[in-house]
Amino acid sequence: MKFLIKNILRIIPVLFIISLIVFLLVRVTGDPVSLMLPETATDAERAQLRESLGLNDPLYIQYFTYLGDLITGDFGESFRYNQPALGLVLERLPASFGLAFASMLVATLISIPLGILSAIKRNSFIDLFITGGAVLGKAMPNFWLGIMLILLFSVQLNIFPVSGTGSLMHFVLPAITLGTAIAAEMTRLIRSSMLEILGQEYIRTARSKGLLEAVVVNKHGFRNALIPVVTIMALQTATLIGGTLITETVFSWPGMGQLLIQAVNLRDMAVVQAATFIIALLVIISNLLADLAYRYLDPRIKYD
Amino acid sequence: MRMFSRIEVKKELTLEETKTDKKAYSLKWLKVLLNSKTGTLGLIIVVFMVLMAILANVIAPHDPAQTDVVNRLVPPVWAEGGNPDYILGTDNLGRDILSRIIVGSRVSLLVGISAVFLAGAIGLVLGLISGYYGGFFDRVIMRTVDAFLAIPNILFMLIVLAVIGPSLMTLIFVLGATTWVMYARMVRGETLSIKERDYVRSARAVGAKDIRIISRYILPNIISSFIVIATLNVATTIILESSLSFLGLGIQPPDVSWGLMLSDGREYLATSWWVATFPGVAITITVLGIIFLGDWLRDVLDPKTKTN
Amino acid sequence: MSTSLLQIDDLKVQFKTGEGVVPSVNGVTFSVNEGETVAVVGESGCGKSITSLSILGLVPSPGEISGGTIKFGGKDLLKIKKRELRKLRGNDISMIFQEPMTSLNPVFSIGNQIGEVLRLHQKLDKKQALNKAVEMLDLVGIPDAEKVVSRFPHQLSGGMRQRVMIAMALACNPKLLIADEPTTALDVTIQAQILELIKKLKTDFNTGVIMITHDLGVVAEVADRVVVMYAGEVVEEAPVNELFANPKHPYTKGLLSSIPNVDQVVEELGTIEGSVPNPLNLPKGCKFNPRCPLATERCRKESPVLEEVGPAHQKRCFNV
Ligand SMILES: Nc1ncnc2c1ncn2[C@@H]1O[C@H](COP(=O)(O)OP(=O)(O)OP(=O)(O)O)[C@@H](O)[C@H]1O
Ligand SMILES: [Mg+2]
Repeated sequence: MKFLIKNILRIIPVLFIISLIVFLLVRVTGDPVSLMLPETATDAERAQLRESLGLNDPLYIQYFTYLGDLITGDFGESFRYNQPALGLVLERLPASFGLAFASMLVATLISIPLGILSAIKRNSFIDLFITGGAVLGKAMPNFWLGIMLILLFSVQLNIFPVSGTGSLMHFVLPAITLGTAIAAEMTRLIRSSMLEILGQEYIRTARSKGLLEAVVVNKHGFRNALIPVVTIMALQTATLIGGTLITETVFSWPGMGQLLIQAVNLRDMAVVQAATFIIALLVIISNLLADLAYRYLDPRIKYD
Repeated sequence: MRMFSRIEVKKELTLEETKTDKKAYSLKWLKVLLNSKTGTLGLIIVVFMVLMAILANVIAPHDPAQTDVVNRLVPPVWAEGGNPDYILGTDNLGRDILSRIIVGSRVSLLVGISAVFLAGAIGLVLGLISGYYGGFFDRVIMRTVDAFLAIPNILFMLIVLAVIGPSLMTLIFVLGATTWVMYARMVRGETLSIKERDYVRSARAVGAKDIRIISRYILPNIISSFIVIATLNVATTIILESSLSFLGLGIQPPDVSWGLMLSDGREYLATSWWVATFPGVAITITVLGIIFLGDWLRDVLDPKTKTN
Repeated sequence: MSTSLLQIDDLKVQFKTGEGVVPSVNGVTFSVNEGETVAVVGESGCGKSITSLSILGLVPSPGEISGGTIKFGGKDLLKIKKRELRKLRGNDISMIFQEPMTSLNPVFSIGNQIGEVLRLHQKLDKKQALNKAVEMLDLVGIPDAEKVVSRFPHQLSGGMRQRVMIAMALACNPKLLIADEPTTALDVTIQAQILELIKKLKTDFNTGVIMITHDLGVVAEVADRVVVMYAGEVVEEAPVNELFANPKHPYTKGLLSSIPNVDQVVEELGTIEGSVPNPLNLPKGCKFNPRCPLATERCRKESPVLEEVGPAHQKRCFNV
């Protein structure tokens, strides 16, 4: 419990810095008025907005006003949709979660067996094949993999729909696209973690008990190998979300990523900021969850 | 949020050692490099790509911007309807894909390398300050690192690009300004551990200047890890650049970039597979080459961080 | 008459490494009878652990057994099927490892790890296994056994962990117990308790024990018979009293002079001059010759064989 509180308290300065960075970027480097109004706006409209935004105030006052708005969840209105930005973002969240979840599922299903297999068959042909595949998966730009999958399975073979949502079939290609990227990283991690664990003395002890090799590897080995994998994967949440942004664009997936990219193109800053904070919060929360998982997986770390 | 610092014990390397027998050393390296199949392959690919970028204007068979309305969407030469003039076919405006890929390598490498230099410089300075001086600076810098880690790179880039608007310089700036975090963490971790070693302590005790301690003891010790991270980072940056260009937020036409070509190609998937396929192959091969080279460098320079 | 339990014959193990083939065990021969404790002694790296791991088929890669036989209950352990060997492991033959701190799995509770063997070999269910685990912990002298079963290894001291290892090894009443330096990592009082325990179990259950150690004090304490190894070979073998009273091989003499003796003032704390030979580059002839005070021209050319020098006493030396 103490641990949780301590970590939640640590989030605050991070969010604070994020707000500062975003504030500086949006208010100082660009002209917020021209960013927030469509190009067709008149001079009178601009002046009015300038006044109502308090842009004539000193910078630090502007920042505190801005911070106050953020705390109350007021990110401003999207000029494109004429709706509060936060609501727009939250509305799209479930679709993005769905995609992220499906991708993680694909990644887990691929990487756990392959990672373990390549570790126990170290330096064999199979190992070479799997590690080679993992490197290739890392080297391919994810959106290109998505495009190639569309080319093969939608255009040529006509098995899966090209884009959109609606059915389970719609999930397949985007989830494989993003899942492959994550699996590439995870397979490598699981492999090296397993290799290290399998050389430990307690693995020899497990064998000396007469356990089946599969039990030795999957119970005694994998359970330990999981500890570093979980922690490092949590640090990849940011990458996962970054990947979701692009995959959503490739497959016209109606999630937060697509909304965000659209907003960036239109310079709909209210939406951009809202999405940024939500994403940052998600990353931070997932890191916190990973820390909890880590504590659960590793009894050596005491609960406070 | 757990802060990882990499294993902080490291082989010690002083300036003297790095200087001794440089020639014999590099010969030995070359031998080790040629012993590693993937390392050799990586080197070949990287050298090839660099030469291609430098000589792009000479070796490209066509002007990459030259449109040819008659020969729009010509398939590659080996496919039915191919035209020997256009080995990899043409795009929707009849531009030669091979030439565009050759010229596009310039942007990829230019952006990749410049951004890594920028990120490395920022990360080095902040990491040194954070690790060497500690205290308040350290806390501020490390919380900033946390903040950057909590926002996906690509998102950061999107915000900046939304504000400043896309251009080549913006792209380099944005990529550099968002990927410095890993250098900063590595440099900080190493600095912290080296600072506490006996010989550094005694150097400080006799009043050696900070700048001297940093250049004489700290920099030589982090240079290997730095080179390894930087090399692998070029690969990541190239992918990020192509992603941004693909989203229309990176390189703008009429400049040529692989990512941009891919976003053109995506529109013509139904009829012309080659437009989107080849630029992706180019990216994959380049990135693969850099990863191979980087992994090899890691094995040679930085055995502690070896992955297997 | 005691019957033979384990018979190792001409065992050879080698490691194929980048620098060359390391012959770490070179034709080791010895046997263990029921209810008998055989101590295997020798300096670090002479192949004690590798020999014992061979019995259970646990030689780590890149090591491989390249010759010999290991007979147990009429079967050659090197030839039987993996499945059969697994049935013996932890059941008929069990092993206590050298490193008590790292030989237990950090993420499973003590009860789970002891219970695992019982569930596997004695087909107990979860609850029975746990009860038996508590019983075993009691037996090895762990106080509060009911509580300790639910603890994790990191919560126990080194001595406790070693007792847990012993409890685990004894859970299925093995016919043969291999203890690889079970006390080296522990402090002296705990060392004594653990040796006492092993002695008691041997008499109570008629278990054959292979006790690996490089501590001759331990040998004097528990062993019936002693096998002295040097550079992957047996150089001398004798009943414990005979060996202490009448050592033949110069290496054994060297070892014996290295135990501080209570009765006499020790003048030369006889560490043997020189060091263990590099296994990649073993000397010609007798492997001990570079360090041997008695070495002659012959020792540098020919390898001596193990020969009888008295009842149940063998040595590998030309000169005594
Ligand atoms: N993984 C390995 N790779 C190469 N050689 C090995 C390996 N493990 C053991 N050896 C070789 O086997 C020899 C015997 O090792 P072993 O562990 O049996 O020694 P030991 O007698 O048990 O020593 P100690 O008293 O230190 O435990 C060593 O000298 C070493 O050369
Ligand atoms: Mg040993």
